[in-house]
Amino acid sequence: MKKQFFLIAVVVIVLILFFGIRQIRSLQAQINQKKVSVVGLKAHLEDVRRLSESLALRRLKGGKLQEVPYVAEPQVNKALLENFMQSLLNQVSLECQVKVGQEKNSADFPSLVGIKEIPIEMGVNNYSSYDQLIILLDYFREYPFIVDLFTLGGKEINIPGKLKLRIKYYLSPGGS
Amino acid sequence: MILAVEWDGEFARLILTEPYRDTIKVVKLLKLTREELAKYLSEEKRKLDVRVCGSIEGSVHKTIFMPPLKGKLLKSSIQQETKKIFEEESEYLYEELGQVETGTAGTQAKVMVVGLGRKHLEELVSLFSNFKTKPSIFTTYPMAVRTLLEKLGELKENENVAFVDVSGDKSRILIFKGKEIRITRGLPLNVEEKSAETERLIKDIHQTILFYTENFPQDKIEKIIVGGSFKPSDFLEALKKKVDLKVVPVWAEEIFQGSNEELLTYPGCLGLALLTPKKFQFSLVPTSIKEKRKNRKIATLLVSVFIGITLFILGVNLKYSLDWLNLLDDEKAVQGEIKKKESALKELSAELIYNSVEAQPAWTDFLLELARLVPDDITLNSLTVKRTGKKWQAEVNGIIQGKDKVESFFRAEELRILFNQSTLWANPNLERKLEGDNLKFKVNMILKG
Repeated sequence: MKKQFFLIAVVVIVLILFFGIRQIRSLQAQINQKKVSVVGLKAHLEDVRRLSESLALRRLKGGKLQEVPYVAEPQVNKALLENFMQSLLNQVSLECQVKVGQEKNSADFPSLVGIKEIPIEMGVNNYSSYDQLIILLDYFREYPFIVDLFTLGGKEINIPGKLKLRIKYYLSPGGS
Repeated sequence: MILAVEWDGEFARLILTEPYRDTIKVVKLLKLTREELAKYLSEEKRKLDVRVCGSIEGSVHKTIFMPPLKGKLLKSSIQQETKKIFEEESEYLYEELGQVETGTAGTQAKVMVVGLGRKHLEELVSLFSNFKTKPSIFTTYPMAVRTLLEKLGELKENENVAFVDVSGDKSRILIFKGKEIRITRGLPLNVEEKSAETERLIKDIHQTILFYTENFPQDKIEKIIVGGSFKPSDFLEALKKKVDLKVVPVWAEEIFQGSNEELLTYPGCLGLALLTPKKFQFSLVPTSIKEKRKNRKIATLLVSVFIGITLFILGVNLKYSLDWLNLLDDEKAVQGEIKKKESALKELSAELIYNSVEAQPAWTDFLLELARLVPDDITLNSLTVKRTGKKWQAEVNGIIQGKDKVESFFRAEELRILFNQSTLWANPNLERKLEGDNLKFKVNMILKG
């Protein structure tokens, strides 16, 4: 009876120790995971802070991109951008097929900022020299365009042409 | 209050004492059977310090001489010796009585071993099985008497004294030399009924004295101290005449309050009442109590371990829980800060877009550099630049035609080196594949923003 009692007591102690240590280890693992996540968040915060500071500095320095006028109605914006693209291509004398997509929230910026984007795909059928392309690309830098994909002879974009571009036009939330 | 009980196997002689000024007041003196004792104890509600001694039967008092060892060594040597002394399973204790010169063996330690058979000890335990207070002392009758005689100043160093307890058919004789108990003997003669047996008892005592003198010829008994319930003056006279020694009754009135006539009937109990438990070396612990103590110790240890582990686990859990809560708070605060900062970016959205546009590679420079670097004998099939996250990766596919295979390999490698040396891109990685006489190649690299 006594032996059984002691045996049971020892078993209970061992079980408590086993489950206790297991629980402690699990808590430790969760805490470590959370620590890593907090460290990541802090790093992100630091990035955002730096970005914020650099943007503030940029504002002070001045300098602004030109913008295609846009409104709150996405369909109108799409039409406006198509017109703009056409006039731009005429300006550089390039024969080009352009596909303007639907306006959507941009994933390239924090969602809180509310920047939107309009995807554009274009295929240039003929260009006489690199200069024409260079002029076009230089124009892009004066507007809120960003080149996502640029290919000469590649097949990544399903549009006819030798030079193919997948670009984005960003719309800032303040409007033009 | 002290309850001192002397059990002779048939009757329990007991006294109940309490301190009274500088002496001890004897509140009660009783002689009870086992059943009467059980009844008495069941009715006793006071908190008592119970001390108990057993009869001479089953007890051993032996003086042995050991080499002058100490500590564990002495203990183990005594253990070896006691195996020879005790015939039955016993609990025993020992006391060093000093050192003696033994001539050939040199200086030796004089050790008195006192033991009581386990069976007898358990019998004493069983007397109190239904009593909630367990005895604090279990010892032998001679040890209790020794304490009494010591306190009465009757035991002097190197002095030989005999003590006779005459009580019905349970009379006993003990012979001491100083604190050493040399002879313990029961005298089973009923002196209270027949005078003839009284004479035989005196003869028995005389024979014991003679036996002692024969065994210890250098030691002479000084006197006989008489205690017990039977003490007619003619018995004392006859004893004195026979043994030719000074015979004196126990005189306990100096220490105890009560009639000496009654007190000397309970010499063992008086001795027990005079013991100081913490100083008394011969408190034998019965196996059952040892077992209980051991079990209690193990149980205490287990409970302590259990509590310790539980507290440790709870403590660690508490600490980690607090850490976890702190981390959650931290995370919440950082997330809040990020949200705030990102909201503030709304005001700077135009600059944010400007920043992204500015971060693009210099496309013009890139195209011009490409045209400059690629030699005329190398044909480019395709060029693709793709944005992945914040980086732009370029892939250039080309062909080197109509050259020696080895030269083609070198030309492709030269192109890779040229790309590597350029400031516009980084980490060019070249892959080459021969197709007939032509070498197809692919260069992957990162465009610097």
